[in-house]
Amino acid sequence: MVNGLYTASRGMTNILAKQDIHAQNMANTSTNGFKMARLVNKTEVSIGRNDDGELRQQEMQNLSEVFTSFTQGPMIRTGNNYDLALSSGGFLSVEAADGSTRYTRNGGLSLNSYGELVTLSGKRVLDEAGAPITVKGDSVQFQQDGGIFVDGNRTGKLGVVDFADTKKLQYGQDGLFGNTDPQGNPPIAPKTLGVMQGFLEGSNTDPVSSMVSMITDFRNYEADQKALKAVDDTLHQAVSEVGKV
Amino acid sequence: MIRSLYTSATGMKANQLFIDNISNNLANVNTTGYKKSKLEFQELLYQTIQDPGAGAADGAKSPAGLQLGLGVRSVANQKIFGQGNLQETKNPFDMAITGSGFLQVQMPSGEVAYTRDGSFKISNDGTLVTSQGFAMEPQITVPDGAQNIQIDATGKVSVQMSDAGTTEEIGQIELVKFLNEGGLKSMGNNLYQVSPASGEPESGTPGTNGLGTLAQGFLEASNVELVEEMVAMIVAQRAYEISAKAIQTSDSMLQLANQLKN
Repeated sequence: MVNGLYTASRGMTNILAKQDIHAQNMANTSTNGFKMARLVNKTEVSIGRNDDGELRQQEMQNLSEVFTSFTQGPMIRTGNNYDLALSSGGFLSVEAADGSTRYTRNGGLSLNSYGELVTLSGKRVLDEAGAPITVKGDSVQFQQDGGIFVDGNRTGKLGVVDFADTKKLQYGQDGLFGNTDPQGNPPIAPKTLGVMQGFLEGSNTDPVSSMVSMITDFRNYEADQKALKAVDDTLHQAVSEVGKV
Repeated sequence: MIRSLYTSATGMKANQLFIDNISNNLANVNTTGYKKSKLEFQELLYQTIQDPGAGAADGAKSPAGLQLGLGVRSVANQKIFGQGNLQETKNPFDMAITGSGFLQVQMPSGEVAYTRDGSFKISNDGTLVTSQGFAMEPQITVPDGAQNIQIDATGKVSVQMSDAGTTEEIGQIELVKFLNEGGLKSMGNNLYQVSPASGEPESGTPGTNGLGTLAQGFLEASNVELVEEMVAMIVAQRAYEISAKAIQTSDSMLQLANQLKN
């Protein structure tokens, strides 16, 4: 009886976490390079014995993992020389505040006062050797393979990398991806390279599927609430009516 | 629960700012030398509940972590210095810059400001001034009795003297460029100010050193593109709407939770 109360309330708590994810995906529909996330729940039903050796069913539903969907976002033409989109897999390498290398798909870049290529939050973009990229010249061109041409001369190559297991990438506080397992999952060269100058990759949040799953989750939440109330009402009956003479 | 309410609120706020930025671009669609600005968003903090690869209770490693994002923030609005269309005015004191570079004007405070708006006028003492009355730097003074002012592509200003009938050179207009012009600070009145992000100004003769050239009798129109802004407005409005829907849903869920106890 009381088991049912906990099962329903567990379900409700999990759906609240899903709602947090939906809110995040929807809030970032205009964030370039954003990758939407999905919460996957894991339900575990186990049967065990209590201290007295009685057989008991323990039903548990655990909050489990958030999966980031790395599908391609829409290509938005901006015509700006320092806007780069990746039409292939892979990430731009960026130097984080603590000096470590982090990764992003948001190619809205700019130059800083030293002429270094930086993200719009001022983090330096790195070349294939892991060094900052300095652009000194009148015209800059980024080739599809990541080659950087300043005034017609090749000066370097963007550090675009990919990972065998993108599940090990984790969003950091700065909105950049960090690699949680640099030994087991080192950056590798992407299979194909498609650096597109003058484009930005929009958010890959799918408004329709987000809306549909939000509605579904909401109705599930409602159903859980009804189930919880039914259990509660039954308990109420048991407590206050059965004992009546 | 409360988390998703605030997350959606950041989405609504960011898209409100998006609309504000679009409105300013649209309002300046006819402003001479105006450069559109582009708002850029970034994800807000992430709250890590479980790291990827952390051990689960049964000893298995979880392949992905549990991280909840807390919304979105606007990180920068960047000026886009693309060339605007040239409009012919036939006014001898109007000049447009084709290519990169800025004209310099002297502010009343003594500071130098930078502009792409080349609609100059003649003040009562003969100096070239902007519509607000700020003198061009280096200062150019048109002498009395001068006729037929000529500004060539490289910024050389010459006049014909009506009494002598000779052509006289009265000055040289200079342009400046910046390493990162997107980092200039907008001061309003079509003027920009140097900032720590822009780098130091480098001046030179128009047409040299990567600087643009001058076109007398033309003005540079705003580089705002209406279609682009309208599309952005649709996107911003719908994005605002979807975050509002998420708030409504969260609210209904809270309401249901409250109804558990009557």
